[in-house]
Amino acid sequence: MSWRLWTLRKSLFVYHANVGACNNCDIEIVELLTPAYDVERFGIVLVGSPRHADALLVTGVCTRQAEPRLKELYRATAKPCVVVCVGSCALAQGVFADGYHVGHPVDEVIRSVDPEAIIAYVPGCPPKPEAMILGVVKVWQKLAELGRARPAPAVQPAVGVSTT
Amino acid sequence: MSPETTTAVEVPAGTDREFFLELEERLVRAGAVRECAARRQAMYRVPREGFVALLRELIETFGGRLATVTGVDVRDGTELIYHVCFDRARFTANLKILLPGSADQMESITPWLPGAEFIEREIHDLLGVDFPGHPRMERLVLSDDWPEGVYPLRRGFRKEDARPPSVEET
Repeated sequence: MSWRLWTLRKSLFVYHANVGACNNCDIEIVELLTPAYDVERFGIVLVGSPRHADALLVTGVCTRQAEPRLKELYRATAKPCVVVCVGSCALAQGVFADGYHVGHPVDEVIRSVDPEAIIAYVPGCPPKPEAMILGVVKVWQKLAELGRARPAPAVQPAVGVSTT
Repeated sequence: MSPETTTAVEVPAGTDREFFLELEERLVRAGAVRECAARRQAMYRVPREGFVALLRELIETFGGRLATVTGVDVRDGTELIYHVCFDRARFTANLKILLPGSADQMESITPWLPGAEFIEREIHDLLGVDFPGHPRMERLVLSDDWPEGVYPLRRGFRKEDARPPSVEET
């Protein structure tokens, strides 16, 4: 497992799932991609399909309608996949808690599919782009920790092979 | 302002006077009572009989534009408020209709005003008002697993009536 986690430490492909956000978090995510923050310099790229994703970026309170879709999205991603919950709504349903249209908190939904899922939380309404970058850095630190805790890969990379 | 201000016709600030007097005359002829007025708008209580014909005349003859329809569950029944904007005269008429008791039925205006389709469907979803004559009365805003006959914006709604399924079931 450790070398697969290690691969996530390089270029992180992110799929953005809006499961009922007011669009404020989404605007801040767009801010991340624009020249002011430009997270592509760290290798973080938004992709158009969960099949290509290393990380699932979830914004919004998970509505009843979106809940089965979010599960399906998580199942569609290649594992291991990191989940990053962005914003108060995705963390703890925010001001919409107890609303008639609200399902379950995002982390509960993800854990019902995969109890072992790695979930990062970025609080704020909306979180600052800096906070989101900090969230990703913490994910990377956690992955490094997990990578160290697990046994080394069975197949060592070959040494001394000419590349020409 | 009190409802008694109807008799003394005063034009809301910022509104074209001539147009407003003409419009108010037509509304009063239809039995409308002005409840209150503010800058560039006024609220009227309108009898239910002949309302749809009145609304159509306001839109087609007076050049009004239906901004939206509001539904409210009140003590005596359900209230629908049709917000009609007259942009050129800088005036908004809010026409309030009471659907008494549980007889929640209002003739649909979608057949001649297609823009009202989603508005009426949403009010049907959330308040349970029926719109006879609507061409496509299907669920719009509630989730697919929402139970039939439970309307979340009614005063009697309890969350227990529409518990979401457990996280494992969805």
